Amino acid sequence: MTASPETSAHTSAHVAPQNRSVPAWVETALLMTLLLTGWEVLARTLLANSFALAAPTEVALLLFEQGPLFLRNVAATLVTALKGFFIGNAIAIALALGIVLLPAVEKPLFSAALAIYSVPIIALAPILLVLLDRPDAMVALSALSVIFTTLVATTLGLRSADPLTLDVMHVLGGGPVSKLRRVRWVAALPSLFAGLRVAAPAAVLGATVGEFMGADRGLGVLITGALASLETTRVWAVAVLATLVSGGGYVAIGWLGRRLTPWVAGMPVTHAIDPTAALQRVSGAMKAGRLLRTLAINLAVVFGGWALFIELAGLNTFFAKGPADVWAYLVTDADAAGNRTLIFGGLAVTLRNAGLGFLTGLAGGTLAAIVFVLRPSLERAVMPVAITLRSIPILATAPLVILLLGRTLTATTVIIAILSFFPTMINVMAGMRLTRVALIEVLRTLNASRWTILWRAELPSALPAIMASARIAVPASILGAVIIEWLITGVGMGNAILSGVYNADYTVLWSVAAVLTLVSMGAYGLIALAERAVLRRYAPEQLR
Amino acid sequence: MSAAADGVDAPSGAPGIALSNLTKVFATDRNEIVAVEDVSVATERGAFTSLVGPSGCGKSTILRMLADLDTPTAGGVSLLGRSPADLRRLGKLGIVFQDAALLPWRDVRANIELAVQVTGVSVPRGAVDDMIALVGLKGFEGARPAELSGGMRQRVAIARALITEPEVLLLDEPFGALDEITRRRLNLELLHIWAARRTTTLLVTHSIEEAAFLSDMVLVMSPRPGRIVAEVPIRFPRPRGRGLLRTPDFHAVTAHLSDLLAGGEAHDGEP
Repeated sequence: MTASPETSAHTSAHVAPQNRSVPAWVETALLMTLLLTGWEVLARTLLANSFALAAPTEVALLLFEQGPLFLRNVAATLVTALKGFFIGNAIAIALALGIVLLPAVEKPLFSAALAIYSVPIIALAPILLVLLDRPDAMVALSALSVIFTTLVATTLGLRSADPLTLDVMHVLGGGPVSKLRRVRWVAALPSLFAGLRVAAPAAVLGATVGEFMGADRGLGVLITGALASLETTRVWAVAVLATLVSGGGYVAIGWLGRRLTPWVAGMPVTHAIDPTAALQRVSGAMKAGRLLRTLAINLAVVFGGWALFIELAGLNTFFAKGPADVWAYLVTDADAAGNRTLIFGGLAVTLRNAGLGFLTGLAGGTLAAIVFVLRPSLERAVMPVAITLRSIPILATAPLVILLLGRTLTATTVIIAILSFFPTMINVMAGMRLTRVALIEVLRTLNASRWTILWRAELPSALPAIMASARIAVPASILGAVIIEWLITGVGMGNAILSGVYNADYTVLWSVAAVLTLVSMGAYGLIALAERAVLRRYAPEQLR
Repeated sequence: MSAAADGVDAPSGAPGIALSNLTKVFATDRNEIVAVEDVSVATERGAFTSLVGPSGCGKSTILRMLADLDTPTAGGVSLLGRSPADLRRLGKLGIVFQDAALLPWRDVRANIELAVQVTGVSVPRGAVDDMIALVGLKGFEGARPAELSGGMRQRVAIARALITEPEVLLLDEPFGALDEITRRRLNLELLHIWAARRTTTLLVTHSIEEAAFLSDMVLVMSPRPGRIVAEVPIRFPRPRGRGLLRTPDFHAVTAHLSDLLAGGEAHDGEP
């Protein structure tokens, strides 16, 4: 085994400040310019007739020419998303404060929030649209999309307060409220902002999914229009708009967070990148027995809450179906067998689609992280681009990938894979970086090759991060799969939703929502169990 | 110095650790920091040498260059007449940091075996068990680092450094994070283990007492730019025991080293 030049480059990046000739942002800007120019040239020459690439200048021109049209639609979505963002986050923050002041409510509240996170909003959308006024339904979908991440981020943040400072407050006579106000709240801000940053694109997605189901204007309308026409320049223009709208919120809140919490700059970033990944302490870290109990609580909360909601809200029973109706539909009705074929046949297709994309994204993200850790110089240039790409929503990737790859399984797989690719990559890189510098140096002194260090130290360090990424990617992958099925391919659960909407058969819609939620929560729970096994071996300190 | 000198630990005469006109400069965005300036030292094979000095005097930088973790800006380093890189490639280096740097998912035995796996050095059957016993961890073979105290973790790190029977042992504040009582006990144990093989050793430490107790030679460094201001041979007979710490001779040596260190600071312009 001999040391390669990369070995020393890697360690010096770890240890000594690097002597940079150009700042990182210049490299990134150069790379972006190069990319756009190459794109322009390709689109206008070699691939001019491929219908896949639109030249950046053409896209810009279309956006400019039809500016008022685009603006009207984007504004509609923005208004909905902003309302949903504020309502959803206000609820989430209030719940988090409640959990910290009254720990007894934690279990059921988290179960409810996890259930909401697991409900694919695309399955909920047609139901909410008939139960509520159309605009309210879209706001509700948007609000539901942000509750879970913000609740988790805020709770973790409130709990991250320095215990010694809290002890000092205690000795000085501070009660729970004054501790909350003076210490916990401020300590929670970095984590809260990390959560809000993730919530911004989620709110836009929630609003847009509502618009898919039928709205006069909005981003969702633009996307369905672009997908119907598959006019190259239009698809690209809409994708750019979707990215700007949801990425804009992400960037804006990141900026605001940095302004309001300047002290974070020097702090070790643990879960600031993706607070949901840190959820392993909340959910992954449970004992198996407690996990079963949690499962029971989850089911009770979901079905109890659902039945109670139908009962108390006094809703029209034609639209509002309870657990009993769904049970009858799937089990006891005369044509239950046919119903099961529709629902579970669709589920099989959806799970295959979601599973393929999920595994591809997870593997791809992990591989990319390995490449970047092995080649830090590459990482420095590409990482900012990757972080930008990360905020490109499924709303933009779906039409683009369909344009490039057609309505194929490959396209579906790619679209879903992208959902988990970037978060996985970033989490895994952070996980690999957790490897102690001293440990890497000991291994180097023992003449370990770069691969040995990777295999024996860095990758095992990243295993918890891989598991956490997998766990949070499950509901996203299922949601992505159903969105694509509903919007584009017309198969699986997407097909079941379409048929329910078409036949005004609301039992179908409730069944789809219930089955998908259960499957999603079940997969989440299974991965949490596997994650626990991994943590027990590779990061026992996180299980305390 | 009145320390007794006898022939028992007579130096071998072969080259040990050699620094020749060694200089290390760190360049940052704004300026250059001279961490080590024109240091020349030669020790003999089998000698235990300590490097003492205040924080930031470049002690660790020298050790890192000897471990092939850093390269000199000017001048050279050699170990047993060879380059550190050569020795590293042969798997003949052992290193212990202040941070035990164990793999949290491996138990004590597997953490020690890591060095064997990585270097590819073959060790006799039962060597790992013997090493575990030697560092006093019998009964803890299956424990994970999280279940061990700081002192026990450091024992594992030492065992990991010794299991491959290295030709050169590099110790960077190995007991720096431990309490005084544990530290003294581990020093005593380290001395016993070291005496069995007489591995050429460099210890970087803040502790004058530790350096005087363990070493054949103490190198005293001045703060930035790091220079060696004195080479103090320590001639207490071996084996050395706890009793040595209480002798007037030992106090005389530590007082002398303290004066040298204080002189280094005065030299730097400190009052």
